[in-house]
Amino acid sequence: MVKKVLKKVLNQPEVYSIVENLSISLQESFQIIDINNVVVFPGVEQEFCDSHPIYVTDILLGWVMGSAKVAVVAQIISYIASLELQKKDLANETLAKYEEVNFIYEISNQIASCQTISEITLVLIEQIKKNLTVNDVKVVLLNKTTGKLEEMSLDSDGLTLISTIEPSTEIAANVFHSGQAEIINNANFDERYVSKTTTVHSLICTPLIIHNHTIGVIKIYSEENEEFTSQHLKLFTSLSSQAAAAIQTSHYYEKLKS
Amino acid sequence: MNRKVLIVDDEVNILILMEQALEKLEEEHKVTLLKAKNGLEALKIIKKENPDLIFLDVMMPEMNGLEVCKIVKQDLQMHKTYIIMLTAKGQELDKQTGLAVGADCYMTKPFRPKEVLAKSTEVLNLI
Repeated sequence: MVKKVLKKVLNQPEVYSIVENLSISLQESFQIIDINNVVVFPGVEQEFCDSHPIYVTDILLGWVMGSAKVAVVAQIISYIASLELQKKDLANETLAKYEEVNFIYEISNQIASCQTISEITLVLIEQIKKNLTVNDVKVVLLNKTTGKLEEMSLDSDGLTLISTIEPSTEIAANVFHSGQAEIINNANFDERYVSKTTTVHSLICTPLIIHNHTIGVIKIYSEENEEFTSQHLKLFTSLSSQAAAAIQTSHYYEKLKS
Repeated sequence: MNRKVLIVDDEVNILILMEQALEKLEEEHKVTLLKAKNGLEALKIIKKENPDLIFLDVMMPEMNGLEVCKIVKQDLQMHKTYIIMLTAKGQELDKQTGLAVGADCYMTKPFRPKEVLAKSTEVLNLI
């Protein structure tokens, strides 16, 4: 990406015009070539004695070919290219935030219209799988009658109860008891990870907490070599808070009905 | 032949975000990304550059997206240019009117970057 910046900068008519005007003002002819020796600013074809590197941080983007007087052109282009890269980084970051906000907005809207825990769980699993590059999502909820943690997943038959989790033997159980979210990259090296499949690379567990009381856990798995980051943790923690509030509301609703 | 995509929106933020969402096309398929901040500017670029795909916001000052779409599809007869109208959530009427004046498809804002990229790849036949 960085190495294509020089071409992109000189493709902007305003920048190209500035470079042309510099050539006129300096009364010097020069050529600009990129890292692959492709001419991106032709100037007048002739033999040039000097080459002035165009750098962004430590990365070489190309050269301005010409006399010592045109070193300033290389300096200016280096500066414009660094601004272009900063703009790109900022845009990338903003796009990621935009996606995140949209995702939370969409999931909040859907959860708000759910009346049962099954519906909430279904929305959570479907939306996370649809919007993020994760392989599996499971929701673990405390069964108040049995006192056991029940793990639910989505398959072709819809939402199904997979298994009950023995307290203190699994990561989800640990997160449930501590109330602290966890990222586990390289899950197979974590002794708490009870492997049902061997393909899981990393997972995030976030507790579902309402009024300082944990009612369950969301488990998100990735089979790819991609590692979860603190950004993921922030996103899923915020999602878990909303889901917990919705689950609590559905409890109240059930109570009212009965 | 280099493909061209024009993004038309009066909100600079959206222009930057759309450009970023479509960056992969530019870098991997040498697609040229063009931008316009209003309908009039868009029409000038459309006549000069003949883009293959246009993302066209509906609500814009000077000339709105529906008018631009009508001119492109009906007056300029540019039937090969694929137009995707960008409408804000809830503007159902705009969607219908957009399709009636010749838009090929619509997307709601806030848009999903992955969806925008996937649709562009499909329309430009870059799969």
